[in-house]
Amino acid sequence: MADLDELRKYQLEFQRVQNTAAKQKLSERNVVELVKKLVELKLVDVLYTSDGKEYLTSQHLTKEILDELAVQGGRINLVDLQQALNVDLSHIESKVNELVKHDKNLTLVLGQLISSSYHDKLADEINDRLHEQGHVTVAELANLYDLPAEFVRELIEEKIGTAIKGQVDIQDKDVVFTDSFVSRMTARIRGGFSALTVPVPVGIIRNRTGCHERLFHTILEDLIKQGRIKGSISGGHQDKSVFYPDIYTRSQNQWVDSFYAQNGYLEYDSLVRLGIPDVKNYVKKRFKNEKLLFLKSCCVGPTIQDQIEASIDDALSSDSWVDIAAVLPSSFDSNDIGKLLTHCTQGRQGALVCANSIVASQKLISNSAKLFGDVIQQKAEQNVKQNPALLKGDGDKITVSKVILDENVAHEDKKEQRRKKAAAGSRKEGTGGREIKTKSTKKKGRGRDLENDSDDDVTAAAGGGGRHPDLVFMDRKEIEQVLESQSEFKECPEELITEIASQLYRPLNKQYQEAARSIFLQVSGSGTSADRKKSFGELQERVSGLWTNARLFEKGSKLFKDPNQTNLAKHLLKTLCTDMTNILVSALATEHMVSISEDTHLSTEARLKLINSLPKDVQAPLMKLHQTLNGQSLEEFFTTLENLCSSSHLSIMLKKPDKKKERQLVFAHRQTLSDQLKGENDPAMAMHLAVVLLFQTFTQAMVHAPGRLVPAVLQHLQESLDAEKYQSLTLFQDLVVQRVQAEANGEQQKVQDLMQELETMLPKIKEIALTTKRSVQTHEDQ
Amino acid sequence: MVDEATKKTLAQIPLLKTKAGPRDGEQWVQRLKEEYLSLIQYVKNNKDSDNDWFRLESNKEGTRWFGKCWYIHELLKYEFDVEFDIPVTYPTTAVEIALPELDGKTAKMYRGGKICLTDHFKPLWARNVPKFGIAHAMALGLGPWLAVEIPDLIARGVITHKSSENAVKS
Repeated sequence: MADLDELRKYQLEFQRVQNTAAKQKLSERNVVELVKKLVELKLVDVLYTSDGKEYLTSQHLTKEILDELAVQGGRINLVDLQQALNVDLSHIESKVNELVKHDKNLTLVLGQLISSSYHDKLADEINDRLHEQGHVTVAELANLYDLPAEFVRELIEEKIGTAIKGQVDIQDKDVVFTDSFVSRMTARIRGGFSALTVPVPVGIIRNRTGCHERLFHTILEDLIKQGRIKGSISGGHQDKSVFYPDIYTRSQNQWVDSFYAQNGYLEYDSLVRLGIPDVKNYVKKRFKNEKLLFLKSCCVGPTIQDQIEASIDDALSSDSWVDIAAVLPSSFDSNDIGKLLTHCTQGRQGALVCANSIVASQKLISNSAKLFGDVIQQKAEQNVKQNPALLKGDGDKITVSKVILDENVAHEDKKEQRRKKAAAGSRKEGTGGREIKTKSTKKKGRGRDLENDSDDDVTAAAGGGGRHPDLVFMDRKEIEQVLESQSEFKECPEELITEIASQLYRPLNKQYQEAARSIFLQVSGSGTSADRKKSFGELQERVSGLWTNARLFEKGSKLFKDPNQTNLAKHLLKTLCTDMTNILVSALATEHMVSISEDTHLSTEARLKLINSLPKDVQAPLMKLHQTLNGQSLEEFFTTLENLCSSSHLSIMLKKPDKKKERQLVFAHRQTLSDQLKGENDPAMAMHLAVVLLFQTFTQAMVHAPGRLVPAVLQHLQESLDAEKYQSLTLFQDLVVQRVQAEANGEQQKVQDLMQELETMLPKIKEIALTTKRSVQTHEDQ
Repeated sequence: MVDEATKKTLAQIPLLKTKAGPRDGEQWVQRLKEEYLSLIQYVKNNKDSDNDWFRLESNKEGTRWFGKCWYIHELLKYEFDVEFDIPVTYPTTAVEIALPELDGKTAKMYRGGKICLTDHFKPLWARNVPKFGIAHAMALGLGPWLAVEIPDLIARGVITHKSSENAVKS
């Protein structure tokens, strides 16, 4: 029965189960769609989790955020929050912003939500840290807690005195420290600086103490102000600034004082070595009452200045020199010595400073100038004798203009001086030095004026124009050598000698030129009449000799027919007449003090130049003569020459040779020709001579023919010569011509062959030329 | 073979232990209890998965079962009476579920509206005697048959929805 009951129960149970409504189940997709629809219809306001599996309302989100914040200890990053809550960051951000707005306990810093409880906790931590380390900086804390410095600073400001027990640095709000820390640092700094005896950069000590920069300087300043640390700081609040302990400064000053007292000067270098940075100012401050002279590398006190002045005076009064470098300590460099000297010699006249360190008296120089007096005289005489041409141009224009300039300057100087004197009145001391200076320059100017004046006089006396190359007496080196050989200068340093030499150079040269000029004038003055006559006579002789020769040659040329005649005339113009012109031109040039290099061999251009440089009255006829040389007519040349030689210009007597004289000349000419021919080996030259010689023997006239015209002359001879002789001559001539051609064509072998042939024939030709003469002569005599 | 979904449902139906037929007295009661338990579980499962598809009750002896079954096609519920007897040789012989309303309307049916079961059913059942019971027969037999036949029948217009029938009548 129990079974049946049980069965009954099951049956009922089955019915009940079957009749219960089926569970209304929705698939997930349906639900998502439904919720979407609801949200669309704004029936519900929900947020999705980022995986999309959950919905939550905003109130719930707020709650969760706050819970999370509490769990994390009052500070949470929004990104962490997003991960923890699995909600989109934008929702969290907006929610957090809202929260921060409404809740004053919450702040949002750098994307992190922070509650006031965290503030308290942080303050406690900072306090712990502060007490542990003695000091903390905002930057350090910010770094440590990964918070912005501003936030930390605000926090510290808020909590200082309550949660954080310490003090904020007055100058630097970023540093917090405890009182004990400050006193510890003070002690350290005090100790460190008390131990210093030399200047030390503050930074080194600061690094040793490990103190913060600002605090360090505040403490240090306080300590110095209190007088606990004795010393001073230069350079302000930097690590670079240097601490000078008083003890150091004192010893430094002592050293400087004692050095100055002992030596009378101070060297900047040594002061710098002592560690004094701005030496000049330091010295100025230190020795306010001393009359120091500041130079480039040192400054000099009055004692040394006096010493120098004394030695300068000494040297000046004894007319010798003194090397100040020997008087001064060796540390002085030459530029400074120079400056010092210019300062010291300002008030002295006749002092010459050279090589920066040597003072010589002006008299020393003028004395040494005297040494050269004799030498100058000697050399001048010598020189005048050797080449008087050099002296032809006196007193060149440059000197003259210079003299004028100098005079002007001197005048101005005078004027200025006068004006200055008028204006000076109130400031006498200031202008004193300069006045003297101008005076001295004026004096110098005057001295030179005198010299130049004498120059001028000389120039006037000489009365010539034109220029002349510098007449050099001795170059500087030579002057130096002379000076060195003198006993007075034995110990003299080279610089002084060089200086004196360069000082003497110009005056000596001038003196020398003057001397040379006066000697020249003497020579030309006394010896002119005789010499001139003599040279004029020579000139006349030469010109007339040449002229007669030319005449004779002209006569010879007239025997030829026209083309050859003009050719001969041209040749004559080019040779003898040109020589004649040259002689005339150079003679005139010498007379007018124009220098020329050589006497006779003037090229056309050189001659033209020379003619142009001559005075006008001589220039015109010479020019004409010069032009006729390029013409063709001998007649023209002769007339102009005669005109030139006539009394109006040169007054050279051109005597027409008489018969006897003519014959003599012709004979002499033939003699020279035959002599030449005998000694001649060159076949062409021999041919030339032979032909000319033969011409003369047959016509009793001289011919002056160029090589070119030899065949023409030979032809002319045909009538009078034997056929055989004529033939051998023509043959020889042909050979000569062939040889010349062969030579021109570079045919060596042929040249040699011809040469041999010519050489064998040469004696025969010579014989023809010489013997023919004799036979003809005898024939004529008969 | 049966499809996956059917297999899953089948696995969730508790198995039976007692091998007894209606003539076995006490044993049958025991068997009947087990049948009920498994049916209860099956129905519960169906309801949980929102797949309730039949009502069944038996006579006092538990030899004759009757009720309704339904199938939802295109949002319309087609409901049919279902009945079957427990054969004397049960559980060796499987039950023959009949839908008398559909007698003669489909080829897959024996005389008297008994449904033709798939070839797989019988050997499956035979292998699982006495573990399979009425619930298994429903899940393995009628469920699949309905899912195949009803849409076909509706498509052929052999059966129509009652409301539309009414609509046609009225």
